[in-house]
Amino acid sequence: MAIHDPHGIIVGNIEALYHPTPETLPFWEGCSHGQLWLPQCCECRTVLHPFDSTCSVCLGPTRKWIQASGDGRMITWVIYRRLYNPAFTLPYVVALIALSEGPHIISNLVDCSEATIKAGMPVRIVFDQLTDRIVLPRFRPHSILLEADTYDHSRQIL
Amino acid sequence: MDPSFSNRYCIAGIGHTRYGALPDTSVENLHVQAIQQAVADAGLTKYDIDGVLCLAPVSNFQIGYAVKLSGLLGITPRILGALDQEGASIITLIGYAMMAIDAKQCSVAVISYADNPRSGSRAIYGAPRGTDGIFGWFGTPAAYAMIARAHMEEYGTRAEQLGSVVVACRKHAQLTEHAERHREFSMEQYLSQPMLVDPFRPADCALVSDGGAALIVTSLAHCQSLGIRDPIRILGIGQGHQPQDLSHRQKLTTSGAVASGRQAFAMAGLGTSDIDVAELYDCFSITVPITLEDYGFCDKGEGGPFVENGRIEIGGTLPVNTAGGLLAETGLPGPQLVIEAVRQMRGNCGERQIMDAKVALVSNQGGIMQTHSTLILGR
Ligand SMILES: [Zn+2]
Repeated sequence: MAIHDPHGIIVGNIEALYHPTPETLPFWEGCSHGQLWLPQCCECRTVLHPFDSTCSVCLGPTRKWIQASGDGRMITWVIYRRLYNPAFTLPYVVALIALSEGPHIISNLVDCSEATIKAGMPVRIVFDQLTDRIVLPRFRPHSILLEADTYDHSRQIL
Repeated sequence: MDPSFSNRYCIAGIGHTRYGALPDTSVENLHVQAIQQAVADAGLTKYDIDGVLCLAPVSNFQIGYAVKLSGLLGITPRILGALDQEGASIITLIGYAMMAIDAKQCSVAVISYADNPRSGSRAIYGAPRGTDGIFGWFGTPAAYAMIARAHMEEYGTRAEQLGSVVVACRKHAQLTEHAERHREFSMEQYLSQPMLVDPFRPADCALVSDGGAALIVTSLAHCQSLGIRDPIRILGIGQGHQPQDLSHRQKLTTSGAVASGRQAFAMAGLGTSDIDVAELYDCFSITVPITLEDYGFCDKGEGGPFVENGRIEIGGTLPVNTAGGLLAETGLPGPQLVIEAVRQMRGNCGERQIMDAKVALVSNQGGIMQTHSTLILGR
């Protein structure tokens, strides 16, 4: 399938790296609608990492999905200078981002010159449509950090 | 471990194969060779071994590995098992051997590892990380580079400080006949290396090595009847762990070394000022300053300045990785560090011997700084 990455990071076939499961499908479906959805434990209300299928706080068996703000802050990052996979182009930034809702996620930082990246820097989500099927959530610098929790976390899709 | 375990157990034998590229030797052969060397070093025979404890090959993980190994050794030990704490396994297995000996389940345990990722497959070290490969998140170096960047941002740690770790290990390897890296390596050479995964250069990363290594653990009480001449006493041992994923950690720049070191020092009744030589798990350069901080050799965040100006080199205030560690001796996940500490305690390290060294500290660490074990040895 042809890839059109608006940020030019991915140039080859990444189908083998894209594998939604029944438990992560709401996250990926949210991305395809330009929305960030995160699982929340129904028991203790901990907001979980999108790929967490269980709650490691209370071990509660059920999750619901809540829409997240898409705002966060940079925790740390690396810049790939050597290719590990031919589907990518160099250089690209992989970042660990603290979402305003709590979870820390791995993603790419885009639209940012390397020299200006800083730990703690506010970032906001962008959705890059790579193929008909694959929409990737990435992050770019965001100068005005919105107050977290202006979002209605009670909205549910499951 | 309870202080009552201190000074009652020992490492009685050490052995290892050649390290590096060994394409003509199977992992099984490497493993058996290493154990044979350790058994001979202790002055024992394979029939003295009644405990077989190992870590299965990381690059080619297999179930039932300790049973397989016992079969290769032609023995039926009283206890056996493979433990997976990744790179923290070897020291942890030493502790479990002590408990088994205390429980009279065995009397002489071999702890061993062999693998051939250099000649076989090193795919595991470049694999997509979890489900995040789609973000280009590949490989072990990048994950440690995330930690290094966090340490640099938080505490101002600089490339030259990471380089000081690399240069020290390379210097020490030059004094170590069996080490893989013998060529001189300067700070200028370090800084001029192109980045691999920024902030890491290739020299910040462990070697990928073929080889095998083994240790014999027994009790001091057994040493007399076994005729073991030069047992190196186990004074302290500990372990400490963190969540597996970086995304599940509240703090990236602190490791399981805090809990692990506290246990080991308490068991030994010693403090950092008692340590004459340290063999620290340097799978990546950043782990050395972090481990030094977490063990309490300096304040949190001061690991960068601590490793500068030759302080961790032979002749410095705290010689670290006197045979070159994972960065320059060999990339095996931990046993070589214990072996070097035993050699330093025996006092037969030749040019790289730390004079009058009486207490050695060893760290092992696994995964992306998620498991940690600590060993304190005394002569
Ligand atoms: Zn919960």
